Amino acid sequence: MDDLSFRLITEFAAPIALVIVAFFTGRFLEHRHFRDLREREAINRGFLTVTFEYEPSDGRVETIGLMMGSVVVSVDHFKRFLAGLRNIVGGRIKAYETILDRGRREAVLRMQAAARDAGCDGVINVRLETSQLANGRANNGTAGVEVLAFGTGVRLPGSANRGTGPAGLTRPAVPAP
Amino acid sequence: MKHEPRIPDELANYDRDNPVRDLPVLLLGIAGAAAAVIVIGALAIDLLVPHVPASWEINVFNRLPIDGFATEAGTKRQLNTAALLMQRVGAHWPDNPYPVALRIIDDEAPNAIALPGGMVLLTTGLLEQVESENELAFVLGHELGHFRNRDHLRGLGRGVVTMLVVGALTDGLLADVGGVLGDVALRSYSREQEHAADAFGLELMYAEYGHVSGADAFFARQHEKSIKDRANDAAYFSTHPLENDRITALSQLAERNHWPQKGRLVVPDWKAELARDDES
Amino acid sequence: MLLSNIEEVPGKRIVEFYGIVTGSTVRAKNVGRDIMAGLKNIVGGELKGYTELLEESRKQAIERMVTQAESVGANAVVNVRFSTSSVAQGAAELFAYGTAVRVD
Repeated sequence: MDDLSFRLITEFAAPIALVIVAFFTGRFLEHRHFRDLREREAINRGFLTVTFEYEPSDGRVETIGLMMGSVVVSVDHFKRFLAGLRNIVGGRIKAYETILDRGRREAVLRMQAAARDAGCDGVINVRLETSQLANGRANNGTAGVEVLAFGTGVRLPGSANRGTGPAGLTRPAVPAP
Repeated sequence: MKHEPRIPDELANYDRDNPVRDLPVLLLGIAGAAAAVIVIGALAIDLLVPHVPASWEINVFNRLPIDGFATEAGTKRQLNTAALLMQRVGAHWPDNPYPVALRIIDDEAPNAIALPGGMVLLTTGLLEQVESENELAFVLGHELGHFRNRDHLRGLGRGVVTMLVVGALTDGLLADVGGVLGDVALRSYSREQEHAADAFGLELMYAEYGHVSGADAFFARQHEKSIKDRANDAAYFSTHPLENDRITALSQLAERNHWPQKGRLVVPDWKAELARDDES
Repeated sequence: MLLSNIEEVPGKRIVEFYGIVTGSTVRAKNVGRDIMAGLKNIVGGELKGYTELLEESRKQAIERMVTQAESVGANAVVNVRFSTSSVAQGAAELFAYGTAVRVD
């Protein structure tokens, strides 16, 4: 067994250490991101964000323009490894579900922030697009997934929101009309 | 329509399970399954191999364009002498169905390989190292032993099975682990094959020379070299674990059969020629 | 230039439409960003370098679409759509398109 353990150590120690470090760091960052997302979503709760092609409560709105928010996310090395295993036996890849959820929510929050900054009261016809980025020089796993949220930013009649403030997130939520 | 903003349950899209929980099940399951497939494949091939007629094998493999990698190397004298020796040694195995052909390939590492279809490859490194014809005769007898036990077919089959299994493991790290596992699973097994081929080689050698002196020279030299290299060769354990076992087994076998282990060694003629050149 | 991803511009009336306008750009990531992203890839999460790169690229694609729209005399582009496609290793095309219109 001597030479087996020797081979295991020399050949696999570094990649395995990387997987372990990635697991703890990735998990810490993920927890922090989810907490952050929840806080910001609570602030933005009242901000009109719908997939309708019209403003549902009134209809008479002013169009400000196209609002976008995007983020490129990637899974950590541990989850990539786990997904590689899962790929063989099939089934649900739980490890990738969180990263996509994080990406979509982050993209929507950024779109909302952009809309606030532009003086919108809401974004209608919101669409989400997910695209995989081709892998560049590294050859393990993907380079990342881009999530883009976009929609038409509108201002409601009689709105006081002139959108000159800095980051939309730091401002109080605009109450729904 | 009234706007009543509410925050949906985020856990609908993912769950908070620690992903580590999946790891042992997946890892052990897959690695175990891979090792099991490799071992079962090897056993199936073992059952199959004795039923493959040698004539089929010769027919199939001698049609392969083998010339591509077995280019002619070594001197004409080396090739002639080795081929002649092979005939002499092979004559003591009258049932040999293979039209054993011999090629020399250019490789520094001393090695000999039995290929399906009855082809033996010797490396230039081996021919340069051998100190006696007897030693070479043992190596050739060992390769004939592989042919007799159809080890070359087993090796080929196992290689194919391992390749398929490792190829199916998409992750690089996992494929490496799978490869090592397969290797380990089959190791004691291939050890047995080597011992069996050694025994046959020794038998042929005794039949040819009446003694088995020089049989262990190759292993002894390898062993010495690996001890010397050990300090700076990290791969020592993975490449040369077994020479001592094989030397012991050879001498035990010779003792059991009362084959003399001392005797006159014949200097290979290409070495003798070199020696003459040096003198002049 | 007013942009919307709806078939109209809410609050305005489309009086003329001029046809499809497009904007596209192909970008490759550079080594510096690649190295950073490679490191970030280990622990996961946002790859900021790539986010910025794609944002800039998309902005440029939109600008090009707007240039086309101006060239046909439009003052709005409606029903804007995006697409991203990997055209080669490490390179992506950012594409924006919509219908150029004139609104009151």
